[in-house]
Amino acid sequence: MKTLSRELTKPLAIVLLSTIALSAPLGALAQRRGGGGGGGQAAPRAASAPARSGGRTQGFDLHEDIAPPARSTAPVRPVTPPRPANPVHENAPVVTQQHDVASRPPATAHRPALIGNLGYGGQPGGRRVIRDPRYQGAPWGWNHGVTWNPAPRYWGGGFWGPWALGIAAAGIFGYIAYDDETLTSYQVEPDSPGAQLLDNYQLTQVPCGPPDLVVIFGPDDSAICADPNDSVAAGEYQLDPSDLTIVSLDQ
Amino acid sequence: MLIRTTAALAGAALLLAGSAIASAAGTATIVKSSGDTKIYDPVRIHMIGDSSVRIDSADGRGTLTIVHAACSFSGDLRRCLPYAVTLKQRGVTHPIEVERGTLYLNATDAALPLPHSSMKVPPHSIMLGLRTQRGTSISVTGRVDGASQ
Repeated sequence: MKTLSRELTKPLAIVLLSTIALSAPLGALAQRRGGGGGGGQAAPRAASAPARSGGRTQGFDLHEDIAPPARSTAPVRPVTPPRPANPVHENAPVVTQQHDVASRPPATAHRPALIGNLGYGGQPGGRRVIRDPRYQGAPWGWNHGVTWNPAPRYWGGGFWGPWALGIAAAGIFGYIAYDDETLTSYQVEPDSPGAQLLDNYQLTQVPCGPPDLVVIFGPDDSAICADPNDSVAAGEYQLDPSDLTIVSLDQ
Repeated sequence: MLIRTTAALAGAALLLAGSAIASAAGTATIVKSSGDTKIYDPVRIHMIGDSSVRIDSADGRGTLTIVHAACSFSGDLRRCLPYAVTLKQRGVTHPIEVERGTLYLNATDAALPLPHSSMKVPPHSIMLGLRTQRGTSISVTGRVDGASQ
């Protein structure tokens, strides 16, 4: 019996040792497959090589980002830059769009309310409503049924593309002027919700500025312009992101 | 008795090996404005509702929480914009100012192509890239460990 026990133990011990020996490489392999590298321990490396977190690491090293700012920083939300005296851009006409008082959308603080789910409430009030030619079902049908909420720090809440406010990553696409306010319009990012809106209405974005354009006011005081077509006449519209309806602001 | 002990140890070792694989959820890379780069591998990725992702360091001492919105779809791939990040470390929660970024989430069972790229996002995985206002780049890739409301 004792002999039998020894004979059975021997292969089991080999299995055990093999398993322990393999466990570290397996873990490392799994880590590499998981996205980037193995080894939990920091190893000596060239100065230019990326360092791996090791046993001495305590969480994430982001101390520069959590340290108090060296100098006073700009406001969190850098809004539309001041209206240039003569806005010049290769794509943007220098003539800003002029509005008469009767038809002009009110300034940001009292712009007509959206009728969607952004909490603005309100009714179109007899204004012309153009429904999305492509999606006319349940709210947010254009977005797989998922509610779209604006993300702060992005122009238009991110509806027109991932353009961070204050960052010149997007191409300026004209200006829309009001009494004391100038809205800067940017080029709509392909594959963004805004691009989907344009595609659904078969609209082509153009730089804001010239008269007789379709002007669509979107989330977070954003606006884009497009050439009119058979479905959408020239004029100003407010977007409802819930169903991509646009409501004419012209009485 | 010896057989039982050996078998138990072997089982424990197998479990350890298995847990090492299971915990290898993702990788975080932090590149500072100076160019210094640190790779955190593995990290745990946890979805919190529809608006946040939590990234836990392997030692459990650091937690990045990324709040996102403006989620839309590119095919079945969900794309969101991160706008707020906090780092919880040593019991203190620090806000980190975000400049811009993009989060891709593949909640399907198949790999999905990343827009304008030949890369694919694996099933039930995320790809996150963001830049802070201090010029630090944070990227996270990997499989989602869990989700909660």
